[in-house]
Amino acid sequence: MALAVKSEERDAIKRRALLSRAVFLVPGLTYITAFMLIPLGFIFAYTFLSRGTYGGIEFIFTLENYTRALDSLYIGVLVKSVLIAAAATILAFVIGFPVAYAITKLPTNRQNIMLVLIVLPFWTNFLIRTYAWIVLLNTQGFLNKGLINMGVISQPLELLYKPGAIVLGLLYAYIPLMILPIYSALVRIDPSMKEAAINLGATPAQAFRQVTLPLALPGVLVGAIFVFVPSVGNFIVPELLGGGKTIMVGNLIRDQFLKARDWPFGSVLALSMVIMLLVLFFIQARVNRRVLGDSRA
Amino acid sequence: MTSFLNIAGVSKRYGDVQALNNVSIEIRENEFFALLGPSGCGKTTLLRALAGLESLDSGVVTLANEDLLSVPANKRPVNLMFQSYALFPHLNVYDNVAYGLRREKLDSTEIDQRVHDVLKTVGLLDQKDRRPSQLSGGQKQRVALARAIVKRPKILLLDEPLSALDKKVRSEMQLELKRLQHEAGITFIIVTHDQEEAMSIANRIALMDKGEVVQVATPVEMYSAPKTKFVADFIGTSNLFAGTLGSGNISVAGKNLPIPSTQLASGSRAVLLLRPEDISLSATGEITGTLVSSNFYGGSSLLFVDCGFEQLVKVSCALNQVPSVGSTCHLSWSAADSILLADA
Repeated sequence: MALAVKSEERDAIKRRALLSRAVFLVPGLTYITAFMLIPLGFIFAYTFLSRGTYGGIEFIFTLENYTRALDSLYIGVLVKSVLIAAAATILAFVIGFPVAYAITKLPTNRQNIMLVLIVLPFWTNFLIRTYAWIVLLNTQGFLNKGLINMGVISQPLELLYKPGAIVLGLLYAYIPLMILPIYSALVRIDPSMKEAAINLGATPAQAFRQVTLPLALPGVLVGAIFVFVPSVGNFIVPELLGGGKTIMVGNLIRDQFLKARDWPFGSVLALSMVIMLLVLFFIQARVNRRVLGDSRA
Repeated sequence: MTSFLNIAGVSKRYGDVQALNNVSIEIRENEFFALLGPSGCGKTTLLRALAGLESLDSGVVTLANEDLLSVPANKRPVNLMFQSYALFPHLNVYDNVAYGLRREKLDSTEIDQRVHDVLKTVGLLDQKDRRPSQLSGGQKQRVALARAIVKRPKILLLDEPLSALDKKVRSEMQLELKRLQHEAGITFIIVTHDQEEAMSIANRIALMDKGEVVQVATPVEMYSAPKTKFVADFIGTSNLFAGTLGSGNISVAGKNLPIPSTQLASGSRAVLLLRPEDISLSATGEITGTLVSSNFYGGSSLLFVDCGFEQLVKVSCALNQVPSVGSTCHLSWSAADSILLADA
């Protein structure tokens, strides 16, 4: 009996402690609810309603928006967006991992300088930075002129307004978001891990592949999501560097809301994006847990 | 016995710090050897150099008459148990232990057999599917140990293996390490800063200070016949009286204390070492002082007596004879039990 009373008391104390900690969650939860969950609820509701003539919605239930989204035209746009964003993400990993790895080998004060340099482009407006690529890549641009002057080519190359230009623009814009999480994963690896592998008979290359790389995987996944998510929904880069020819799903969503004034269909497209990204986060969380053994990072 | 691992004239410098200065040690086969010393004495540098994780500036190391230093780190028949254990967090216990065998490209049935045997030896067979993060400190340590000995190295190096464990688990692990060393027939070299640990676990000890080996001896020799004042001070509990030698005595803070027979010249600076258990309370004594404090240690007490020296005199005393604090104590000892060392 006495024991039961005690455990009840303990539960009460626990509940109070939890409650007082919950207070700190209020600002964050309010923000997420007001600017994220409620708007998402609206979007979700819109998908079942009909379009208004001048934008907005009419309260007539329909599933037509969903059936329309399955049209090969829109599926094609979605697939193309995913492919372009995936290409940018893979390139960001291929280039970003060696950069992050090299930074961890520098003395600590140099590491910090390098990290600042990598973040530095973010201080300039995104639109201006993307515009700069037009100046670099167009037929009269620095790159073409330079190559012609060096005699490498005689005719200017058509570099702009192609999927490749979009990939390049996205890669340039988001590669810091790949480098930073990989760097932070790499620096957290205990140096004795690699030494242990070598001591147990691994060559340096094996130690890297079997120990360093798997332990950096959570950072790689975070980086991949950081690059893929803003890339797949991006509409500025495809607009400027794709010349409006290569439409990505971000352009499509924006056009549905602002040009075609079809809010319900725009909502379906937006929702499909959200669901796809949620699936990605889920996969990332699972891999993370598998690598690290449990919730302790 | 011939030497198995021969470390000869080994030196290593980091910038301004001489981490190892002309270190020579001979270690025998199947020996449990301890490298002991305060932090920064070079013991860990030496251990890492043996594993090939650190290069040496000069010197020769041979293992069974073959040059060890020219062998790349991943090919040395030497395994290291890291202080942090360095278990691979992304692999379970089984795969951690099997990692080194897989690098040897052994066939899978042999790997399986050896991993099972070693996990059984350390009592972790039923934990083989767990991740390191799901294990206790003592269990992690056993996995680290299993991972190293499963390779059947000629030498097992242990870097402060017990420092992360609490006192009770530590003494259990000390026993287990001794048993394992005996059963496996592997030469163990342990690095530690804890003199009690080195004394209780090792067959022989090399005491190091500032990159140099001060003395290599068995624990008993180290305790009863320290070569220098540093050894006397570092090993065990000691009373050290620094003074000037007279004829047949030493003058310490104005008092003349008896000394054992010595080669040291009269008039030179010297240190008289007296262990607490060699001093007894008596009716009349060599020195007299006031009891300041007595610390209880289970079977006996350690008395702290103020006799007018720089330091309090430590005296070991049976429980039923502890005088009350503040009372006058007469301390006596036999000069033959004391040790006289030159004071540099």
